[in-house]
Amino acid sequence: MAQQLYWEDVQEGQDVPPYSQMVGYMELNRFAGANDELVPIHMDADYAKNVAKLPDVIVMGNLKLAYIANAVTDWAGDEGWIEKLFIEYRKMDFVNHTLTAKAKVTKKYERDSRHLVDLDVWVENDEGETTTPGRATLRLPSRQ
Amino acid sequence: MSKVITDAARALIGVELDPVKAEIDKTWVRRYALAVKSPQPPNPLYTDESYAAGTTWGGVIAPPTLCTGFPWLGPLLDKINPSMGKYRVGLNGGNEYELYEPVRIGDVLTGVPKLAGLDEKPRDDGGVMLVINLEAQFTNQRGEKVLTARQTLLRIYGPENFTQE
Repeated sequence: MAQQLYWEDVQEGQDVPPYSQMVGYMELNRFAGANDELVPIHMDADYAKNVAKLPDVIVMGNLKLAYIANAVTDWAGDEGWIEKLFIEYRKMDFVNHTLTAKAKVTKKYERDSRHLVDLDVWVENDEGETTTPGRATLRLPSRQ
Repeated sequence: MSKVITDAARALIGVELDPVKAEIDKTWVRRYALAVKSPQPPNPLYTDESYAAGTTWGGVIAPPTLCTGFPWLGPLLDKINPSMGKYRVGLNGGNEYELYEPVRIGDVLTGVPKLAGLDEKPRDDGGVMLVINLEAQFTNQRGEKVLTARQTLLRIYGPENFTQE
């Protein structure tokens, strides 16, 4: 339902509006069920701390990827199409912290009649650290 | 000398496994769309038939990252795991997706998974980080190429009790 973005309206260097969410057990468990990702380190603090020896329950990488996709698709509108999405999970994110998915336009170009935008994408934790960097290629409609 | 990668595991690199199926139903798409946007309302392109019918797609499509739940990793890991020792913790290192065609409710996708590579790196604590690269190509019931999925899994072994089998 987002307003449609057109390729001509995008500028290299432009920031994409961020998508932010406090990730509690509700968000983790809901996603675990929806994505069939029922893994103890994402659900069980006792297991995470005492068996896996982690500081706390960690947020699924796939949920962080989905938040990045939210940021990009909310900005792009219905006709936007993510052609490529690459992400690295370099630092863990823990339950009960706010995550913010961000993106910045790095390149705008045409290829084989497609109007494309390359983006740096990433997730920041609530201390402003990038935990999850990546890249995306987005296809947009053109006014031409 | 590998501490955790066995010859049997290495022999699996590049071997295409039996195809896996992903049947895309309305409940799956709806639950996923709700989960990734909660507590905000879901994107109606993924949940509202009448809204989606008025878009360029002509109907509901799946969210782009629904593919993270396609059931291709399990069979692949079932094949790999017996060749490996017991690890202390497993982590998702990264994903790469190339999306070619929209996935729609009622689609039956067929994925062909394979182990793309194995690597291991020493850790400062004396343990080992195993890097597993996995890949699958998905087509839909019309034979259209829908998706290339790549996944990197990280496994931490040791520093004590390596149990190479």
